[in-house]
Amino acid sequence: MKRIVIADDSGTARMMIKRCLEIIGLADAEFAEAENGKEGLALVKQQATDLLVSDLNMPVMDGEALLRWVKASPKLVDLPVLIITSAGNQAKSEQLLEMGAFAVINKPVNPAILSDVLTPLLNKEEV
Amino acid sequence: MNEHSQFLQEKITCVLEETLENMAFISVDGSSKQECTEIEGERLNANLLITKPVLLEMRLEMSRELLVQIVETMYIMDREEITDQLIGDLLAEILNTLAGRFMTETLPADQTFSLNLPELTEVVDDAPEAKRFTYYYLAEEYPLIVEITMADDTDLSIILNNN
Repeated sequence: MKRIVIADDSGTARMMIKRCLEIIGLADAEFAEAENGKEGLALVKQQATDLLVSDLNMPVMDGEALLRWVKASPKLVDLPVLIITSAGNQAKSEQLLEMGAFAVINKPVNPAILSDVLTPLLNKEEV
Repeated sequence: MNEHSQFLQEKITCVLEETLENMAFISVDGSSKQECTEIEGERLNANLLITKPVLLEMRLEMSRELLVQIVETMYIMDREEITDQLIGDLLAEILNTLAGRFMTETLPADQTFSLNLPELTEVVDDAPEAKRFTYYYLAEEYPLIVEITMADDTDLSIILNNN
């Protein structure tokens, strides 16, 4: 069973992302939810995770800091991090990709966009 | 000021249509202050501060009933299951998405921006009218109001000069 961690301070956004992931074929995945980057980091450290989906704007620790911590950790460096944000224009997206994000997509998210982005990962059976 | 207001309205309308269509298959129509005022029912309000590269506040006011209907549609939930927290959270998420899309549409692609976290608030009428732009819509026949308040004219100039 795949494990996916979703970090977003909005419960609505977490529900929406989870629902989209279920629609694109990840319904049997184990989902863990975090309200901020700090909780998200704790969850991915706790247990092997196949995908981390994170918002950018979050209290306590934002998504950018979460991404930096993940990519700085030898144990977590290969974990694909998908950033889903409303504050992701081209400049920000390029910056996050350079920092090691697997992909950056803009809210509002929908299943078609998620499917396009995650298909390469799904095909490699890494997610 | 009317020219500026029209430009901002076009951008707001565009991102609002895109956001609600994508989130909940809801379409929006332009409305007026009078029409929105005449429609009864509880409204909820959220504010969000954009801090860089301009200082402005975006406010979103929506009918509670509309928010409930969106939750019902999006999550296939029964009305009895829907909590006030979920409704407030949805309003904040819509505002957050709107603000991000608005900044993406109005700033150059190589310009980053910073958004604060959205806050659920009461409507406070304290900004001078000249710096405030209010737009009225109907979504599924329920009122929806988007308001942008600029800290000063410099912020408005930055947005306009990029377009």
